[in-house]
Amino acid sequence: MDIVIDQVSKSYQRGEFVALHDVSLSIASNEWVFLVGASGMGKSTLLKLIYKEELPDRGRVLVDGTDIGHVPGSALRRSIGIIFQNFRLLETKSAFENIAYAAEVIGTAPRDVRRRTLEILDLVGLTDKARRLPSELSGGEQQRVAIGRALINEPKLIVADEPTGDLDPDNTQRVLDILKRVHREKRTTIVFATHAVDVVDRLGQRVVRLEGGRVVRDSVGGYWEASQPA
Amino acid sequence: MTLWTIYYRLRDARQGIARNALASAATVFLLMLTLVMFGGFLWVNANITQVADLLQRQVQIRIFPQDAVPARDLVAPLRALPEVADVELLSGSGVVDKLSAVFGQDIVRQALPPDAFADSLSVRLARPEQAGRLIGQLRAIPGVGDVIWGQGFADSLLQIAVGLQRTGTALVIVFFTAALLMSLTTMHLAILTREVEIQIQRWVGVGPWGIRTQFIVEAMLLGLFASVLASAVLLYVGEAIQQRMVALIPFAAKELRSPTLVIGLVLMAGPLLGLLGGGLASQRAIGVSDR
Repeated sequence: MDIVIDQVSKSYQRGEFVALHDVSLSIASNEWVFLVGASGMGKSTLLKLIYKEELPDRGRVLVDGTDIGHVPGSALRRSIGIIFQNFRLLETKSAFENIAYAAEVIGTAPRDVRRRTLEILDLVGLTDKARRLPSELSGGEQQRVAIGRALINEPKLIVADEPTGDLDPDNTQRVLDILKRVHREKRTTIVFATHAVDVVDRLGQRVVRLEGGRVVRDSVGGYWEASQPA
Repeated sequence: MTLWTIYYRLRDARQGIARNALASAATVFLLMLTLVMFGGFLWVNANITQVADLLQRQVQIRIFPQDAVPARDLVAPLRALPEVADVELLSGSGVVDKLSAVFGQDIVRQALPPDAFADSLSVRLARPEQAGRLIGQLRAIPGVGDVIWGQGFADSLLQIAVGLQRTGTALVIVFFTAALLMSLTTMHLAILTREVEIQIQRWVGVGPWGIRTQFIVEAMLLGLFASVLASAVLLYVGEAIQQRMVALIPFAAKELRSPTLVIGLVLMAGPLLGLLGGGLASQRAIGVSDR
């Protein structure tokens, strides 16, 4: 799934706070892009525009060549897996049920839900903890459940907003390993917002740096390269 | 929406009701009270209207001619009125004959003079409820003396029916509004406590109507429970009341309607209230725009 951000601007509080200013960006299908920058620089807003949680004030967002302004949000999001820093799991459901829920609500047949959930649990390494409630899992395990939930409907694009922000280095690595595997095997496009230097450096992918709502650097390599003036 | 989606929605609705057990029970109770009121009102009203109709159908107008005017002369002008269905001539001698058949000719002759009963006419109307309006018209016909009609009781009963209809309608509206608000509030609370579920559904691509369906189904299930309970109460209490009424007014026994007739309406009204409550609450909290 390829994405084109075309001269997009977005502001809040009736224009008092400008989150994005005339941002243009192209992300090719099967590409992995890190969005970096300090808090409040527009990373999350850019992600929200991609999965249509927000609408741009000006400009267009095109996904696979289609202006998403003309596509119902629900139809668009069926192809997108969304991961957040805070895992937002259902506390009364087990790890299995949390993952399965995302497939059930779009009407997947129970047999398929079960098969795919078991596959995903294996992928995220939680088969032995399938019956545990979120409160019985560590932070890293909870994030892996959230990733499983984002993956179960086989998205073509993964939008991850600081998914390793609350994790220790070991769990961060496990999360990255899962996403790397999905990126490699399923050819999934990944847009990953973070301010974790080590995460960016470890993968050596394309890095887009945002500052004051503008793209100030678009490079391939590590965090350091992205931090240099253009 | 697939069959599996409906299955999941019903399952989630059941789980939602179980999680909100107290609020759900309170909603079902209030809905049930409303529906018992609604069904009871419909049933009582139907029966009063039936009995009033019965009495009205039996109302006859008796017309006595002025002195020196033969009763048969009035038959033609009376029949000419479009509201009159039938006119029967009742001769005074005919009345004496009927009394003689019961008490014996000698006794009647000794007790009554030959002209004790004047000739009269019995008038049956096509639409008995118009009797009140027609009396003046009948009195204005030349040669008509007295006009006697027994509309009073039927009129009183009709007035009671109208009064009951008005009071009952007002009560049902008040209870329906309260039940709707209760259903709406319960669903609103359910929506607030399931914010994460709603978010997850949005993220994986469920549209606003799909998300709202869960809460609408849940509210309709609560309505259905209330309807079933209310129907049981109406059947049990209604049948007992009907037996008392039959004993009280046996002449109208055939006219009385069974409470089972309103059960169908009560069974539909509960889910309908749920549909409204769940629909409004979810529209307010979730919206309808799939932007």
